[in-house]
Amino acid sequence: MNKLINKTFSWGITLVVLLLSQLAFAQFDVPPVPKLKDQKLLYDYAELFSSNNQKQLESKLHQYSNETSTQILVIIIPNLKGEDINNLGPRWGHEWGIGEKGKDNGVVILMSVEDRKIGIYPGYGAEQYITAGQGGELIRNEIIPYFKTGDYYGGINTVVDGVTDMLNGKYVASKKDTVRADGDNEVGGLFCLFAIIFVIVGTIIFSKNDKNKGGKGGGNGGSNKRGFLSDLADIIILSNAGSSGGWSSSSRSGGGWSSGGGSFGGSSGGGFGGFGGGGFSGGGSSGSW
Amino acid sequence: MKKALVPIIILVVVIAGIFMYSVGIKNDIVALSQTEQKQWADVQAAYQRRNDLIGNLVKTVQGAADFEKGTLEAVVKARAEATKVTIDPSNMTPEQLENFNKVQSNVSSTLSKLLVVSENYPELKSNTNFLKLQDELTSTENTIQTQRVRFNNAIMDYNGYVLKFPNSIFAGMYGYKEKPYFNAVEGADKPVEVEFNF
Repeated sequence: MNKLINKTFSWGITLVVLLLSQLAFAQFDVPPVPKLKDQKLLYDYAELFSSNNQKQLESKLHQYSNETSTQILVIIIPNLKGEDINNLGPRWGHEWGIGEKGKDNGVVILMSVEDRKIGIYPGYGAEQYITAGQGGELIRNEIIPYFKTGDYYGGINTVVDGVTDMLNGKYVASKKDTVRADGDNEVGGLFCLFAIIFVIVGTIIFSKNDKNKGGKGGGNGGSNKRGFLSDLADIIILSNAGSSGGWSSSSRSGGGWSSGGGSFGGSSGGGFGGFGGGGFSGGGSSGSW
Repeated sequence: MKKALVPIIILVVVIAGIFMYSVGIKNDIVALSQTEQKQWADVQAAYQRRNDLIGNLVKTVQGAADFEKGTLEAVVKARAEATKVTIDPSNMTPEQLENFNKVQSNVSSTLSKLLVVSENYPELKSNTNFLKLQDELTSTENTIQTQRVRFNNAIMDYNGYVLKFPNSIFAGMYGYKEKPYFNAVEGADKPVEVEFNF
């Protein structure tokens, strides 16, 4: 037992160290995912664009997302805080879940103003349409000339156009897939444990009653015993019902969640429906000017 | 007679309960193990992609006049060695993983040398094919890094679950063991340095 405690303890420490080392490695923390109503496809943290330009670009991105379900997220940050842009871009997309879950049709365009760097990072599903070579060529040949003259809006507009050109016709608009609710195993296990405890405690109480009754009146004994057995059966059935009730209630709450997902997909007329949980491999291309 | 029935029923219920509980744990472990194996497949796919790209790179570079032969041959050799080492994800040992890591990091270092040397060849730097390959290689290196981190996270989830009490008892019963992490070999954690000069 001591050994076991030692082992779990040392493992705990290893896990913490591993976690810490990862935290120390990431110098630029991806901001927490914005609330659903605040989610959009353009985040100009560096305040590089005028509000008019921001609106224009934003509506372009939202329109493209509504038409094709492909989400292109444009992020402009003042600086990378020493982070590698090729690491930050895909991580950002993955943590925020850009693109639809399963389709992974998200694209992150990340630009750092002070570092003079820009990168295009496609999600798993978009990778085949925007290869790193194509992305790099787009940046080299079309974007950098804009940025060199200081026309950042023109450059970003060109990136977005280039990316949509690569993607165009590849993704057909579809309804948001409802998220399948997974049954929770731990709940089942817990109910099992409770059922066992319930039965044991119940038997102790009943067997005590049984003895008392048996001592007092013999005539009643038989019916009482039958009563106990049926009670025991009741307990088992009840505890089963309880556990299955637990299961269905957990799946019911899951259902509520997925219907929530459906409704946010539906409410997206005009605006932007929210990020869908797409994944990123970590690949992509970048360039500097 | 009926009295003897009571403890039997209790025993059966208890055993059934424990069994169901252990099945729940086993299913969790299977799910975690699947995630981890899928993640390993992604790691290998990223390395495979790099291997394919190196083939193209070597062809492109060979076309450049008087490219340093030694650098090129080192990459080709390292790549050939790396393709020989494969790992069965369901039966992974720390030694296997270390060996895999060693041969792949050898590819990384020879490749980065080649890319640095290629900076001296203006005809390569203006070759769009070469530039595209550089982009692809940088991208693949990043994918490898990302997938490795995710693989280790999957291992951490798996190990954390399997080694935790009381799961450890049932995990041992069902034959699930602790799995090795993908540790970085000296210098292997650094992506190939590719400098763009515009």
